Amino acid sequence: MASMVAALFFLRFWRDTRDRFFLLFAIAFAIEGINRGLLGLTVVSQEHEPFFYLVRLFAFGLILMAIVDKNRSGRSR
Amino acid sequence: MVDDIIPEDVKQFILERIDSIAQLEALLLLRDSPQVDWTANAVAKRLYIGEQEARVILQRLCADGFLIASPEKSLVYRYHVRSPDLGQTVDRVAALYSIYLIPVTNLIHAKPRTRVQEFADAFKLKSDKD
Amino acid sequence: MAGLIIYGLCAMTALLCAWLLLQAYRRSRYRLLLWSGLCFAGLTVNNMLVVVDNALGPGADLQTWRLVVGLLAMLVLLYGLIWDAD
Repeated sequence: MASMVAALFFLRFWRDTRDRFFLLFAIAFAIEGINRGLLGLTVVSQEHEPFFYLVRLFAFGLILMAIVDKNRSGRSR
Repeated sequence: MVDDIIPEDVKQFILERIDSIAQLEALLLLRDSPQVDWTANAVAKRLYIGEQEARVILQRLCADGFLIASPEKSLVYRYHVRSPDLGQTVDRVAALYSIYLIPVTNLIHAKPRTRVQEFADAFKLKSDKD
Repeated sequence: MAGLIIYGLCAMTALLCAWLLLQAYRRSRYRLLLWSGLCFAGLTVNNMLVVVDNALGPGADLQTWRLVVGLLAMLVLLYGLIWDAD
């Protein structure tokens, strides 16, 4: 659940800086947090279940999107 | 080009400790008269800033080891650096600022509004200073 | 198989983040960059372990290592966010 706490911090940074980069990170970490929580609740290691790795792909995809977006707009905010 | 004028360690110092021109001016103002006690009101009048802003700046400079607070009266400060090294660095900054006003102010103005913005800026693949 | 590729991609994304953050830390010494860089380095390892676990075959189980590394990475990030965000 540390991911959820990190997500909350990123939400606050988004509020402080209005830079949507932090919003994307917040959502990515929140999704990963929920994903890992669900993974932890299953009895057998389920990383190979499509649901879990697709959700992780989505979360990391958001991070990549944040990086691409940050480099495209060129403004620091 | 700006990068060559200001030595790296001074640049680090400014980036880490100086958040605004007003703060730098306040620091140098108190440094110019180290025997004098300054109130936030007096600093505000000299620098043409609000008293609240002056108070925050002085508190911050005091917390960072540049000033000491007067033991008798509250919110009164004078210039007194925590260590000789710090004093030397401030002297260098003062000298640089007097000669290279524009590069130093540009450096300070280029700082992100809050430090956390540097986290997001770390992901910029190319530098935007030119 | 698709899962392994995806975990590999996630590892590379995390590696990119770690690289960018640690490079920026070298330049500006802003400590949050160090902690978050280390966190993403840990997440890189965390994702790679899934691939390695699979490659090592059914005998190996790196699940515990994955949990430990993942947890450590997040704790380092949280430490940085709480104390060194400024």
